[in-house]
Amino acid sequence: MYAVILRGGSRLSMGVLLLTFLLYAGGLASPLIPIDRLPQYWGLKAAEYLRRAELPSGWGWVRLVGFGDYLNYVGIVMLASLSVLCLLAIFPLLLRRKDTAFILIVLAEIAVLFLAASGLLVVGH
Amino acid sequence: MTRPIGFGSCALSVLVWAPSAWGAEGAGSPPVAWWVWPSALFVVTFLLGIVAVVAGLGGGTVYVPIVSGFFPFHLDFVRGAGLLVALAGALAAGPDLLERRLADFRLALPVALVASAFAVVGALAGLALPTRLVQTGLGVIIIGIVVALLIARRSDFPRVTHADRLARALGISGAYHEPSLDADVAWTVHRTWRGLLLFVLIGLLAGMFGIGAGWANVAVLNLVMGAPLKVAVGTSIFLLSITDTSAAWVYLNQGAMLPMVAVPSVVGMMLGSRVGVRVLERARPRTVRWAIIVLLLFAGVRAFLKGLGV
Repeated sequence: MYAVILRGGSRLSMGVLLLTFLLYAGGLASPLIPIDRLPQYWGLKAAEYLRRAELPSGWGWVRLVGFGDYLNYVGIVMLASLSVLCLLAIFPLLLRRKDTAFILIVLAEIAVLFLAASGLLVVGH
Repeated sequence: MTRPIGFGSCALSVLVWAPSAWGAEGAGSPPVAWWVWPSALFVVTFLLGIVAVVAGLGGGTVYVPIVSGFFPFHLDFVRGAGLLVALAGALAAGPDLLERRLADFRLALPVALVASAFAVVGALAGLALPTRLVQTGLGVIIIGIVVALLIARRSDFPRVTHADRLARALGISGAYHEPSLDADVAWTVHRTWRGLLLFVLIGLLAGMFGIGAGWANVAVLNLVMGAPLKVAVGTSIFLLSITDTSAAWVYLNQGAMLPMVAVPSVVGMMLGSRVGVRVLERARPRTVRWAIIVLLLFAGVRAFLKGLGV
């Protein structure tokens, strides 16, 4: 089951990633940061880039998903969500097998991935 | 037969051109059009995708030092993209490896838990530390990888007389069909605690430098824990899909994932890898190995010097 979800999910995510990028780079989806201004930002540290361009961190991108540049995040987030989806999918199977050690390991892994994805972990300055 | 050298030369030519173009931009010349760098990035990652497959290295390992050393993108964005490159490759290869039993779920999960937790710590530290320090560290790590490539020995079928207590408790063992022997090879692991401790370090490195660290996964799984080489390679790729996910989320949440850098890199690497698989059949491994060693050494020294401000 893990392999099936991973295969389908990675193909779908790559398709979305490619499609949204073509819309963005092809000028069909207007970006929040004009593409010709990107060279002013891509040499900056990420925190400085967010500050200067007045962009949100964490999940703040969701409300900007209508812009071409943030539309690309959909495919990226799909790719980054696949592992946790697969682990959630096999969890009932582990429960049925009463595989206690692996139940705990999978639970801990899901917790780590959720914590990483939550945006609660912030880099201090 | 000379094809691998051709690819290596081509990649080097693009890289030699890259810093001079960057220098010209910085020296007050008219800035290059925005699309030049993403296009060059696509070409370079396509070539790196070919070379990485043929040399048996993960995409992230060659991507981060080379792109951070020769392109104008900040190291934060390069590391974010590097993780996505490694993640996309691992996710694409994962299903086949699992189905052929070359990636073992029971071996991967415990080490992935340790590596992914510490990859988060490494990513947070890497984004908080001064860029020059991380760049210098990256140079040291890459030069270390070059040394490891020169001296490392791998064992196809390491001798594991008995599984240790932890491996037995977790049921880490399996079997796969080995075509060269035309037989099923049963395997288990030992020194599991030592392996898990080493995955703390691997996770930190993967998160901090945005490299997949597959090279280190294989070494620990094969040489320390005693997994057969094919199982170690397959499991390493599969566990990258989990380790890099956790670190990638940190980079994404901290704004260090720029689509204009990440997407051409992922697509370039994926396409290059597909070509690389075909080239692999005709390539001379020894020539390719030396090409990648020279390329990595070049990139490692440049990252090191760039970090020192030289």
